[in-house]
Amino acid sequence: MAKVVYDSVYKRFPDGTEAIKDLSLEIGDGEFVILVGPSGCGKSTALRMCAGLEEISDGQLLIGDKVVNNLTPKERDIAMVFQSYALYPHMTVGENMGFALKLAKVDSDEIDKRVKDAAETLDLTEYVDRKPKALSGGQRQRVAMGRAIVREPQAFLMDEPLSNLDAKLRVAMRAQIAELQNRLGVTTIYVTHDQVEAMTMGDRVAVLKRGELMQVDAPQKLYDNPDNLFVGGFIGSPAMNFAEAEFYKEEGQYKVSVGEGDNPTILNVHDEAIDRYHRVTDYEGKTLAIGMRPEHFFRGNGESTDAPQGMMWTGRRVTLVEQLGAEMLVHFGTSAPPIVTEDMREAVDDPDAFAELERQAREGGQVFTARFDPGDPPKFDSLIDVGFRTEYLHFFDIESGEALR
Amino acid sequence: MGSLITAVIAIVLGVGGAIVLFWALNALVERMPEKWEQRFKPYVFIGPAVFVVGAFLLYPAIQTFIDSFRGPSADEFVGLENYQFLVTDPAVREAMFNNLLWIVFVPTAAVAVGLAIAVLADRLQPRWENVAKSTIFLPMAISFVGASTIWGFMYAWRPQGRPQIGLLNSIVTGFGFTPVTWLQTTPINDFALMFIMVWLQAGFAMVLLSAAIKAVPEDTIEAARIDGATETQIFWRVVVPQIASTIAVVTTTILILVLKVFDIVRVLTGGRFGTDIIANLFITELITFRQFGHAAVIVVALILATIPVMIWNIRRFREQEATR
Repeated sequence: MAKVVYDSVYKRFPDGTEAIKDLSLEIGDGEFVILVGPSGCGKSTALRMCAGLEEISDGQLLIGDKVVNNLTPKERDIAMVFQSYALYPHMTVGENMGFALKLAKVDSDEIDKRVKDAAETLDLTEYVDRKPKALSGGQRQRVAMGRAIVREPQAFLMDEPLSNLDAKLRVAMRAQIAELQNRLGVTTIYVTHDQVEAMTMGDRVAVLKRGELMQVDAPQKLYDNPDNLFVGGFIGSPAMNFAEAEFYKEEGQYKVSVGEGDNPTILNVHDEAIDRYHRVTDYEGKTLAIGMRPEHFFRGNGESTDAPQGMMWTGRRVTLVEQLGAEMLVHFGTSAPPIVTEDMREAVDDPDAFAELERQAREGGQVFTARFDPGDPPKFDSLIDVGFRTEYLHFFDIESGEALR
Repeated sequence: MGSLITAVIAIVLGVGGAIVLFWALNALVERMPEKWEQRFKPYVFIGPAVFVVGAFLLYPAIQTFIDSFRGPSADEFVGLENYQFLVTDPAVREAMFNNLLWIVFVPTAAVAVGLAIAVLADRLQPRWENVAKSTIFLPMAISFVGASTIWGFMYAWRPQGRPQIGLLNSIVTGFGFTPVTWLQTTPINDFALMFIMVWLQAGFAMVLLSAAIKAVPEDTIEAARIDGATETQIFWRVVVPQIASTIAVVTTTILILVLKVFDIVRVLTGGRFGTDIIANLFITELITFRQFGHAAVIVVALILATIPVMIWNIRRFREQEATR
């Protein structure tokens, strides 16, 4: 087991496009790091460079203390789990798991023992003599894991290993992989586009955008303190709500004014938010982007328009109510101008959804998503009052997308 | 012109006749009581086909089998005399040995060459891959007789000192050696003939194997690379096992073709100089010597030789269907 270090790594394709730009990331010995980002961000390329399946155009990649740029996958001593599992269809489960050891000319008794141990760990003992074709998706996924485990490699590389499983199995395997990694203590790099996997599985999460590393942090820190608008928008589901807002001071109270017309929504900004985003004071009298997590909205009851610090959208039309059992998502229309920048396009990671956002921007308004406790759902198309706890307000520069910390 | 009209009439009558036949039979069956209709309908539709197969395939086969016990003009019963000829005659033995040689050499060589080209072409840029594959595939479009004629010129021999019109002998004499009688010297001539078949069939093997290789998931190759396999190990232990069923199909297809090989030998050597094979021997016995009994027994031997291949082929096909 070893640490893995990306030192200013670049990946350039012959046509000049840069899939990875100046990636520097140190993954500690035994650490579980998640690479996450929208499609085309280079997360898989970064992983494949580590595996030795993609050449490194510039910079250095170290496994342990050894520069491995020019080593073959074999010499790097890493194991990889593929999205498609990539099992050898002509070999039994046992042969699949033992193939690497056989190639390494490990003694056959030793191979048998290690395959047996891995099969036991993964609950595959009764399937050892079957071909992959006779297994279910979840079992195949476990065989792919087993193939990695028996190697006892320097590092595990996992490329969206759970994305071909159904939702229920994914939850179970998520826990199993995290538990296994914990127990074996093998350095692991895990690529995913799944929010929940990113948040729950790793010690740290590295967020990439168009080949650039945007932020690396523990999942909760990443969620609470995004370094920029993109990370704020990409991490979290449902996503953070963004709006263009005027920031100003009135009678010693910082405020943001959201929305157009004679009747903009005014939020009194809580001091805590100013403390966290101290650079925001430079933006007095200017326009900036505010970010609001869905769970920081609360329901008003129409009468308390002057609720805590007067932060309230009154008489908003409900466009959709999603009752998820433990929580309730309420979508409501506002006049708040959306942010339509490249950062947002990447964060949304869906051309259709972004086109919808652009359409809303042209019409001057957008739909916010709020997360409430369940019970007493508002009716579709009814009017509700929604407040926001401004101590959790996020501030970003619109142009650069940087958090104003 | 006349024959063209005849052909058109034949097609119209043949296809039209079949349609009318099925329509009439169907109408007939539908007039029966419901219970009878259901019982007879399958036979009405399958019956004509069974009859055609029986009349034109099964009957001649049985007749041939019976003829194999009869004399030269297939009139008197001679017992196992023909079979005695089959096992003792040196000409038959030679033909059988040559056929065996063809069976072993041609499918193996065609598949090996086809596989090698498929693998190498796979590494070219798509445009060059297509050029290379088309070139190799081209001979497939040439008939056996045509190919034999072409290669007849390639192998042509003139006495030393005279200008060599054959490409191979021009090269040989160009290097200062004496010209080789490619088609007259045993066993060179056997392999010279077999090479034509390989040349014709390698393209066929290549096309199917190339498609199979492309269908091998790239992931499994990358997984093998990470598992520490060398490129050679990847080929033999990951790629080849995954295309094994295609290799088997191509091999048996060429094998059956080789069992029936006739034209190449007929055109180039006529079975002389120790190159005779069973199909040519059969024609020689039947047409040249008018030995119907001998001809029949040779066919019976050929059918018996094909049966194990067919059984194996069907069994493998069933297995494949079962695992699907």
